[in-house]
Amino acid sequence: MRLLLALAAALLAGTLHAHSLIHTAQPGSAVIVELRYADGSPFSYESTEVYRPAESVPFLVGRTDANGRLAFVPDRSGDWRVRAFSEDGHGGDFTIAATPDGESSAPSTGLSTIAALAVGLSVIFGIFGIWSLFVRRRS
Amino acid sequence: MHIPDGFLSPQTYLPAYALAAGGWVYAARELRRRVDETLLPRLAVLTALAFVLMTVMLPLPGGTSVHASGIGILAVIFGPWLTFAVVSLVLLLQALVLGAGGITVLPVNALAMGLGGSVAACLGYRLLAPRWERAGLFAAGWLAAVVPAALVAVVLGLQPAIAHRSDGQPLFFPFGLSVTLPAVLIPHAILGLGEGLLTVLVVSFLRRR
Repeated sequence: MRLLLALAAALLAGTLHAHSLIHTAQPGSAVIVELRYADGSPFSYESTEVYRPAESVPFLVGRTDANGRLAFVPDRSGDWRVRAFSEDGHGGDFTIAATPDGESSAPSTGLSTIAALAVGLSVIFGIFGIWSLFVRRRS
Repeated sequence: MHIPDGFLSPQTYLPAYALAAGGWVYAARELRRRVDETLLPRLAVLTALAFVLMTVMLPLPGGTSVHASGIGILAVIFGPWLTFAVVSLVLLLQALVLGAGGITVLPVNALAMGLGGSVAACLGYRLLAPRWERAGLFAAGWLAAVVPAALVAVVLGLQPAIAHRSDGQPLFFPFGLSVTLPAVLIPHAILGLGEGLLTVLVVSFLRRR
């Protein structure tokens, strides 16, 4: 009888735990990626995908948080691909070099907007200026 | 409005490169034919204006942001082919110095904005301007914002059908036409009002000079 009761209790306990999720909080190093529009406003609640180096099946699929951030914990070293999409076609597709020990580096996103504006305008006026000289000389 | 790198499949951007290359050759011939000492400074200033307008992002309610383009102004003053040429230059610079848009997607952005937008702007202007000059200018600006947005939305929305895994998972941009058309068109229909007003103001100002 005792054996039967013990068996029933064990089965019941197994049934009770079959649908539970065990959670643990692990202090450690995650890579946090922050995505912003050019005006500085956060790329909030938009779709994201993270891929392990050289893999085509996503490691993580989700959305950015209210501050336009996503986080993942790399389990291997290499270039992790991050993709982010909004429904209206904003977003990006880039890689971040990351290691399980927490070191990560994203490629530089380039010049500040003001510096980029200055470079772009210089190139435009430079091209048209040089072209004007040729046209004037020809005429 | 311009599509970033990584959002379009090679099946989309490779044919677009072939199509755009033909357009760039024709536009270069047109530029060479029309170029003179008076055209170049005006073209330079309005190309610079387009570059600045495309860089300044305007936040809209709902979390997205849009930018004006100046394509309506360029199209009314210089016609579609010169506009296609200079907008392609602006998009190339934006990809190289700002990381906005991209190199693989350049022909799609150039065809949608530089050619689609400018042809629509010219047609709208020519239709209305003989009777209502200002309405024609406003229509040019509005169409220059909305038509490229529609083209971009269609190209993006077709990506899940064009390139996907065997299980149906999209390989590039993940949203279909039912999502992209309203998401892209509604903000640009609003932006188009500003673009139309800007076209009226700038072209009217330049014609008084």
